[in-house]
Amino acid sequence: MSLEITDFSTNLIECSSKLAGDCCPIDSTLDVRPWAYEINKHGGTELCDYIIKRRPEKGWTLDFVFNREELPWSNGSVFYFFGVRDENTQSLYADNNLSFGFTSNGKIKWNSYRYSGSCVNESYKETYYLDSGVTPILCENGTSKDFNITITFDRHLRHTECEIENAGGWNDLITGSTITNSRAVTLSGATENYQYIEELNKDWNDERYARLGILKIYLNGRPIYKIDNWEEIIPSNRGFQPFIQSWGGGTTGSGGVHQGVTGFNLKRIKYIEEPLNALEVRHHYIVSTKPIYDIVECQEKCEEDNIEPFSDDKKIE
Amino acid sequence: MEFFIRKGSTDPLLKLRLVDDGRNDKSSLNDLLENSDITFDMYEVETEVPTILGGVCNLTTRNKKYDQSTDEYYITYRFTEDQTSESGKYEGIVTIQFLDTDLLPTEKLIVPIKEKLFINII
Repeated sequence: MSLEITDFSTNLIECSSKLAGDCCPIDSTLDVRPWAYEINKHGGTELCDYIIKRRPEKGWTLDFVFNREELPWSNGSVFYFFGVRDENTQSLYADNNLSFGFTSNGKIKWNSYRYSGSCVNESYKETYYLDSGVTPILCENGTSKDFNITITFDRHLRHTECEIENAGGWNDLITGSTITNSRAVTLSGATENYQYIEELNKDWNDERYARLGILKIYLNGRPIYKIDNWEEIIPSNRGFQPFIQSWGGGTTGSGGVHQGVTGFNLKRIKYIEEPLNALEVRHHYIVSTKPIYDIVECQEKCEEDNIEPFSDDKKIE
Repeated sequence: MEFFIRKGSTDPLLKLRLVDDGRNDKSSLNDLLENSDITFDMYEVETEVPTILGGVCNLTTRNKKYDQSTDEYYITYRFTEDQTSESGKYEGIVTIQFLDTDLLPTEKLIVPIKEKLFINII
């Protein structure tokens, strides 16, 4: 599945035609920033089908076209967030948050609060830490007009079918369940509905290897940043408002590291549930981005054009 | 290394594969290749007159059998009808200009390294 929004004037889902009643809490107008929604509440018989997969098989791709509108980099701020919103309890937002943003000196920075644990004196000790990284400074020419940022995560392992929730997935977080039916329903012998309790624990930490992969960032179809053994974010049912995908800005909570709204003009956003490789990113840039937007390359090639052939009277004998 | 192509033809594609002898780290060379400009030059062997200068090469990859295996990149060049209009023996050179994140040139690699590439237009 892929999602593409251009010009921020298209509704992602037409509530009236595709979804019934109050199941569609996506902001109907897309000129709000950040444009955020819960990915787990969009239709289906229980109004809870996931609009995007909670965990894709191999990875994902984010694609943005920005224009700074001559604003300084400090106005860039956070432009993408994924995870739990407005949550301040560490054990609820850890491993449940990720953001990308511009720094004031023209780099792209990613932030994520992580969970870890180790055995100390025969007992399991939990730790939390802020994981982050920055790209080199984005080239001046290449970001002077429209510019294309592509971010890919390619997991080392492809997970299919039941591996998705079990191999380092959310089933490792489940520590118990509660019955959500009223007592009358339960006593009547009707089928009980269970809500599973998801908590960070040792099993989750032990299966970290199954969540590792390569994070890559591209500017105008060219790679500028790569980090191996990067841990993917699998949104989990923990905290105030989990399962948030937010475009054009971040959120409060999570230790304040995802706060901010980008002041840059967001011209196009895309989310693809496959990790594009470097050649596919370049191809996408050449075919679907460069011809449509006003992009200046980091280093324009010096190519002569309009070379007129020598006419006979100008030839030197 | 000999490559044969018919006069006036655009097929077959000239395709070069990185030698994977286990002594070099293929993944780091792949990273460099992803951010590079690759061009093709061709000279007539006898006269050393260039017939192609700075022809743009493409990078392709093949579907991996296993997800965990490293990508295998190929450098390809497709001749135009004009470029194969004269029969003869030519020498081909592929130049890989590696770039930094600002797209400024860094190192340059000329391949093939161990033996010459001869293009025979027949």
